[in-house]
Amino acid sequence: MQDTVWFLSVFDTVHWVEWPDENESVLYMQRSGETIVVSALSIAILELLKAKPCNIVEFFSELSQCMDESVEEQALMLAIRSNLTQLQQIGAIDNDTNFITIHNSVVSPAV
Amino acid sequence: MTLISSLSTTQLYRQLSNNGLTIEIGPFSIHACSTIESLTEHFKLMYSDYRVVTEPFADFHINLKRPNGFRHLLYPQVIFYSDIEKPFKPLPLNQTNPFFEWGLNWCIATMAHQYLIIHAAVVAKGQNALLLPGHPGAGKSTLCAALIHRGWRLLSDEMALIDPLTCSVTPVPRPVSIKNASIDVIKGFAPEAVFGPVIKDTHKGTVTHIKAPESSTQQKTDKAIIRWVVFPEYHSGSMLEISRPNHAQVFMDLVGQTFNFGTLGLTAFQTLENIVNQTDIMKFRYSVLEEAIDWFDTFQP
Repeated sequence: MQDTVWFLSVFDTVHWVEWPDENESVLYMQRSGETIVVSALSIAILELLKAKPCNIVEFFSELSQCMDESVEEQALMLAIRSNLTQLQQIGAIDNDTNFITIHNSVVSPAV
Repeated sequence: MTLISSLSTTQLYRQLSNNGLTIEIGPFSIHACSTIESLTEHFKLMYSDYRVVTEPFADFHINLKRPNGFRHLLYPQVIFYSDIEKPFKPLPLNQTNPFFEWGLNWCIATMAHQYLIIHAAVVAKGQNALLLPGHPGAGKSTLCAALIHRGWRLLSDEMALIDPLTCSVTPVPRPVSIKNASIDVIKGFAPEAVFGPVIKDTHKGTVTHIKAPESSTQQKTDKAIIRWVVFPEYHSGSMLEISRPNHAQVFMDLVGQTFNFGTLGLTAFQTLENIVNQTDIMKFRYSVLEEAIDWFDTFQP
């Protein structure tokens, strides 16, 4: 899990809208049409992935700088994992292990 | 220019029952055809200020017919046709007029995808529009009927036609549908309003229509920009309560009230983003209509 690299989905395009001082944003998946409310942390994750693919250590390193000091390391790590899972479930992001698995399953019948 | 009011009842019936009649309602031309007499009366009463179109093109072709066969003699019914399609089951014949209005709502909601269509009443002060979205029973039509008799202009009682990527609403002023207890409330509030016949036992309960004010139908091409979005909620016995929900919640509420969000896709998402970011949004709970309208009267363009 530590080495897993996350990136924005190549199968869909993610759009979102956020508002200053509000902890909830709305995310829209252009291909599936799914529209959901996500946390500000999810948007921060997406912003990082827009710049480059990241593993969880990189997420933690970047996001901990934005948090106030009262946020415990373990709690932040759990929150990041939970948001990554949610974003993956709606098809907004993917990771290299999952991508390889999907990719292999798609090409295997032809081999 | 011919208005419906310039036709006699006999002329109107002849046109409707022979080749049909095309009228201009907001941005649409609607070709209506029917031999059912009550529809003639409905047009004469509710659409007297609307223009008869002579051009052959129409956006929607509506035909209301009695079914064939002997069953009709025992249980008189009416069938709604949009072109050759029958999108609904037949209804009792005495519901012909509301059926025309409900069917026309369906035609617009399913075909007019040049607009983002939100299930909402829309009224305006000058060029500033007030959007009243809400689920059935929230009280939006009651508020709409009351507001248009307090100087607000009717853009729509049922659906907001929004130009994509803007906050601009195209008017489609039509009769306002009110139902059940609201009928007597509005009769008390605006006795000068022109009411259609009261139809009982429809799937929405007891319904009637109020004629759109002539000033609203005359301004059918004057678009208005959404300035306020108010989610009404009628709650018997409650005090007047106003709250400001968070933007994400509002956004999702609007998605839920948009007929063609899936069809317009990203354009719909971006249009709602503009509306949520550029308008004053409130949730509003009320029980006394006079109090509610007094509060809306404080809105300044």
